[in-house]
Amino acid sequence: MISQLNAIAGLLSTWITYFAAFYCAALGCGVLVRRGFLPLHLSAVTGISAYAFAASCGHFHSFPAAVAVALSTSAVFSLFVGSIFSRVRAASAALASIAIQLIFEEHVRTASWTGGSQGLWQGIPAMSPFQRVVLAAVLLAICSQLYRLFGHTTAARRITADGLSGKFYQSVSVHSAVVPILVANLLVGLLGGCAGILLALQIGLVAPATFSLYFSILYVSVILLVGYANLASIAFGSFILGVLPEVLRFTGLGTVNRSAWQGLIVGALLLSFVVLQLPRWNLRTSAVLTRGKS
Amino acid sequence: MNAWALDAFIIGGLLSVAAVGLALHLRLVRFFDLSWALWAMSAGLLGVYVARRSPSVVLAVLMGTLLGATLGALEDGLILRKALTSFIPPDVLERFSFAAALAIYLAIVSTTELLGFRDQEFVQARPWSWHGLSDPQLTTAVSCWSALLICAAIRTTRLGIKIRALLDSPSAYAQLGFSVSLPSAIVGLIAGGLTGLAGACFGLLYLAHYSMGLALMLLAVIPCLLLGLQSSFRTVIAAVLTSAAIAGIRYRLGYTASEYVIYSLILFLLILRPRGLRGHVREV
Repeated sequence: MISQLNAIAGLLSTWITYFAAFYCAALGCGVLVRRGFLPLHLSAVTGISAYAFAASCGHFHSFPAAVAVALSTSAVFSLFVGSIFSRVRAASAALASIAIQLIFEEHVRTASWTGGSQGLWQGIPAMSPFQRVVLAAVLLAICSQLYRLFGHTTAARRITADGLSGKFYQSVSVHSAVVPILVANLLVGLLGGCAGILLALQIGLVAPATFSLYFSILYVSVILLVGYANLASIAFGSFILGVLPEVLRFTGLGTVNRSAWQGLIVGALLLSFVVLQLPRWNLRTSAVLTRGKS
Repeated sequence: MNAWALDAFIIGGLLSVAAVGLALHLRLVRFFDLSWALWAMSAGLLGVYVARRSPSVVLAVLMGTLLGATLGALEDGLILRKALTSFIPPDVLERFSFAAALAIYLAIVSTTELLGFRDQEFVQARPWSWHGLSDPQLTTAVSCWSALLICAAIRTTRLGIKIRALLDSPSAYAQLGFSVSLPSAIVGLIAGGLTGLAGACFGLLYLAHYSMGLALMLLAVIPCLLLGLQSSFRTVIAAVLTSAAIAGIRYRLGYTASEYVIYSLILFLLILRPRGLRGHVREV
């Protein structure tokens, strides 16, 4: 009986931690999507945080210090990336984000401090399911509040306006979009950092495969599927994408190829969404054109 | 022949084919279409799949090229017709094609995984007697440079002139009363065929993996940013120069260093000159 309860608690804590990690990373994606491009480097931001967390756990032997190092490292990295995104937009920015992600993957695969393809596992604290759930709940609350607050700031409005039409923003605004972009990227660093810490604690191993381009695509897919405006929608999308592989494993459907099933379901959902959305985009555009002519 | 020069010649052919294919597609659709990477990845995966089951590398390259050509003709024919008849602006098309490409990417990755494909697949190269070249290397060099020669020959024919007129201004071409569906499908066929060829050769030479399409796209973007999209000849020159530099760095500093240099170069080019060195690449 006790062993069964322990198993259920372990399963629930795993689901909640994966959900929280996906949710935090998707929130980071939602911040940058306002600029009008789909960021494909979020996995690199979470990965930087996870590697910094694992390395500093082994070095400092203090959990708060390791968390602080991880968050500040991912924030600094994200600020650097933000300086790039202040120069480029749209598909050029998406290409730049892919290049950043691939540089990160190449680095962690070959560098000695990251443990190469074996990854880092020494020093990562083994937490009980209850501790993991408490930490995930705290980080969820903090990240949601940060995202909500950011949505009401002038920086968010300026980034959205700049993303909708860069030329229009430049012609009507006396303020440059650089500072809002940097603020947004700082927030992305913190959100991605939280996701990285949660993933490192849950898996107990920080390896390149966990932070590949594939996961960046999954984070972007959450925002593509449910949008960035509503926290509940993002939570729903993250639940589907983050918990789905674990549910499949639990039901025995995806014991071996759970990521394959996950990709297939997400791909089908995304494709149906795209096909359903195209007429709406088309109608909206036609309406704008008609109004412009009259 | 010097091994570095030989490598530069082979990578030069591969990169030229990829860059010309990308330039043709970008000039037609007028935005950075990430689904191009999907064509290359699909062709690469199919090429490796065929090469592991048949003794002929040529057949694998041919199958990859055909798949790329089919995907290109379908997408370019449909997208351009939709764009010109429905007044959809490029940014909406870009979002649509990006989301659709992501969805199809996930579906392809998952399906191939379920079929037993691992995340990295490669072909064991058989040594060739001529100058120590392997089978995929020789096939890549011959097929890529032959494809470029065929493209150069098509340029001066009636079809080539039609294609150039369409690429210069699809709207003006349509306004003059010409049908855009067939020529745009032909451009897609050529661009997709070149992309498929590059993808299949890339998979056979190195590795077929799920980010190979994006990696090849990032490589092919460099020549387009360096000398622009307007002339295929200039794109080939830029691709040969880039591949010579890549081969040189690879021989001097190793594979990892060359990867760092390539991606950093793309970042710097995108940051400093997002419209290309000559300012001809449209920033979208």
